[in-house]
Amino acid sequence: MKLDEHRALFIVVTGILALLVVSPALDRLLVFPRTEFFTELWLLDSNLRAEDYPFNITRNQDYSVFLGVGNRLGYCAYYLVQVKFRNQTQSAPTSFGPIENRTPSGLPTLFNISAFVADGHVWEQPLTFSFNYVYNETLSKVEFLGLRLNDVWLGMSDYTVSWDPVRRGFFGFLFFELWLYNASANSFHYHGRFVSLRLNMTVS
Amino acid sequence: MKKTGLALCFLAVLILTLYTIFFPYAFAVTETEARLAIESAQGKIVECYNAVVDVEKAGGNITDLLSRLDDAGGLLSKATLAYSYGEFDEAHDFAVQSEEGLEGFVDEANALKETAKQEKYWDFVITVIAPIVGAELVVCGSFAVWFLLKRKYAEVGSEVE
Repeated sequence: MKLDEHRALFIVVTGILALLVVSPALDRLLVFPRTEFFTELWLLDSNLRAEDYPFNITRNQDYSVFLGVGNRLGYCAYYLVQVKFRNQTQSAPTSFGPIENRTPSGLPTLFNISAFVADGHVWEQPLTFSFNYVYNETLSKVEFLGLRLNDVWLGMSDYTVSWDPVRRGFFGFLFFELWLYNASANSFHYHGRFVSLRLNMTVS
Repeated sequence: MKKTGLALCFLAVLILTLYTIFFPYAFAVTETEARLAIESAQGKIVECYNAVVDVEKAGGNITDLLSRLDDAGGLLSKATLAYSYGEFDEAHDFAVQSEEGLEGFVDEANALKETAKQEKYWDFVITVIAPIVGAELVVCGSFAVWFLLKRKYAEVGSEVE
């Protein structure tokens, strides 16, 4: 038997052994670089599903939703969620097109929720809210007194919703704008995302 | 003489107490104080957040740090809300609580960063350097065995001839 006849087998076995030994290093080094950096923002119902959102609102009745933020920016992010309310005629934020061209709503914020989320992690918080309002029959308007959000009372004395004769209801939008802290500018910037709840204020 | 001193002292305490009860606004926090407290708390949060980013870059576990930052952020939100309603006492209290909750935070973050750096170094040695060295040893060892076997076979062959 000649040894040279087994040269190929010897080289293959050596190669396989070397690959097995070096595999932990290959696992670390052969990683495709991330090319997409973004943030996810979502709103789920009280069962953590996207199907049974509150719609018909009764005065002082509690409703629950879950607000979530997923960070895929590549670094730990400092977010600010601005809670706002608008009626059908007031300006809504935008969430389409290039992020730098998207604009937040010009309405004042009712409350700020801060969230610190590590890269690749998710932040989710239950939100329980109730509205207090009165119906002005003369003006056919719903006039808000306040919003209770997670046991924090927020005044809404200047907020009103008019009757929509087409859809037959008093419709308003509770929405959550996402803002991101920019360390180089030392300020928050609108991150081009918002989620919204369309609500019908019942008055009967 | 001693009795008069005691009486005066008692009277002073009594007047101060009554003044505090009937004129609380005299000791209330001003708008400027509340605003400065909020700005200070916001600055502290940003400082701590930057420290957390450094820990994360070093590969450290930031879960506990983020939990503390979330608490401080919640208190700051309440402070801002109270300030917008003109409740400066409450705003000041929340802002101070927010900042106090972050005492020693940066030191803790720096310690975590140092630990993480060391762990990252050893992790790199174990998962990258060691396997590469191991693979080289396998290849070199195999060649050595191959040449030894070849020499041995050559000797055996010449003896047989």
